[in-house]
Amino acid sequence: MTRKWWIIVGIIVLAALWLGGTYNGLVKRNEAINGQWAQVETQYQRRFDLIPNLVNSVKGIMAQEQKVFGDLAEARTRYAGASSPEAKVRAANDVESALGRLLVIVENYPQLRSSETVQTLMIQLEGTENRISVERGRYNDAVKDYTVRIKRFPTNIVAGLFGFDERSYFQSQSGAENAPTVTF
Amino acid sequence: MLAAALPVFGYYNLGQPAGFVNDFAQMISDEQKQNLEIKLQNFEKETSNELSVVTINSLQGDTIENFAEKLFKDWGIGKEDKDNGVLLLISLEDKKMRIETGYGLEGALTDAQSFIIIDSILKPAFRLGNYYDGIDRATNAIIDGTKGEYQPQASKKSISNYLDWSYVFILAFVWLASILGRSKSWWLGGVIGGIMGLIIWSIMWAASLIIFGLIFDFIVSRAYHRGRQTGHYPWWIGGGKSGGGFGGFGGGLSGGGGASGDW
Repeated sequence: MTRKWWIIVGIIVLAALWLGGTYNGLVKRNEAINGQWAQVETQYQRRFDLIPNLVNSVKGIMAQEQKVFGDLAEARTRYAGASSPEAKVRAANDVESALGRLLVIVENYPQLRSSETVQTLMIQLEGTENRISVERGRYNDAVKDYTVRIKRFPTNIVAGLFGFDERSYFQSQSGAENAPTVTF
Repeated sequence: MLAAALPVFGYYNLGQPAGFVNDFAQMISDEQKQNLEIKLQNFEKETSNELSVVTINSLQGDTIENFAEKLFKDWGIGKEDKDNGVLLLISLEDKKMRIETGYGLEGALTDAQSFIIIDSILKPAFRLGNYYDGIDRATNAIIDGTKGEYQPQASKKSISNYLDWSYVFILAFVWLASILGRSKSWWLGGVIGGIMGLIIWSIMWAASLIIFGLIFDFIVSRAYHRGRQTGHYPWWIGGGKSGGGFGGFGGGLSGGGGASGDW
């Protein structure tokens, strides 16, 4: 009689421990995604901080290329106003393509390419693009780690019980993962 | 110019690092390698910064940025708490090089500085085939740029941290061994292993720890009983750690900072 109760209590304790451990593991992985997203945003911010400097130092000479500056400014404003990560990603991708076009145009101006300020800014931007792609890659790794957890048996039971939803991967535009290469 | 081609992720594992200098492409002589190795060892001792020079034959279709970041992460160049590593990666067939800086040195060694080191030191020397000369002077420039960012004292702290942890583990080991060895049962170890596994992680962990615990309990129990019969208790906790030479990197991470170039 007492032996039977001991076994039942033991099973309940083990089940509770397993549940707790699994739940905590899911929370940890979910938070890892949030942390990694913050890293991506940090690098986006770094890019935005560099863009005005570049624009200001090339604007005077590139007077006839107003469209690309307009596109850049517009995408930046949309990024600042974006509330959801998805909208932010879309705006950031637009910034990326406008910036890529700007860098190509800069290449066509020998007087800009030889300017030390422009050259340094271009190197910094190139470095930032690479950082963004690294952090985005790690963001997707974190999502993958989490997704495997919530989909695999028996963790999926706990995930369903406590409402751990799927997180979306970073979908970049094709070719956007390439940092623009600057050649002097 | 925007690179048009999609990257092919051709990163491949290079195995374990043999030292700070890993000349897989055999671009420098053994003697030159020794000189560099000593210089980088001293640099690590003085500043705790870990600077690694790696030459490979080919990127196998990968971009050098991706390859450098993956290798940096795999080897963990730099101290774990400071991320103060730098990787100078050179791919011989692709004629490409990259300086990848750890998170903790991005402020001291900016992308622009890395670019200048590549552009004004490595490129001209490599074009003339003076590989050692280029690497030697480039590492000097990196050392100059990153000196003073970190003090080496903290690295001792991380070693003592490590010792604290192994001390705790040994204590726990002895404590468990003494209890399980004295207990009559040979299964308690399995139960403890299972519970610990569930607390730490999951079913898989629990299952493996149950087996480990059972074996552990069995061994210590048998050793204890035999010890009681013979009056001679065993002490098998010792066991030397492999020592000497290069002890591996410190577990640092990079976030894609640095600069690339070609020659």
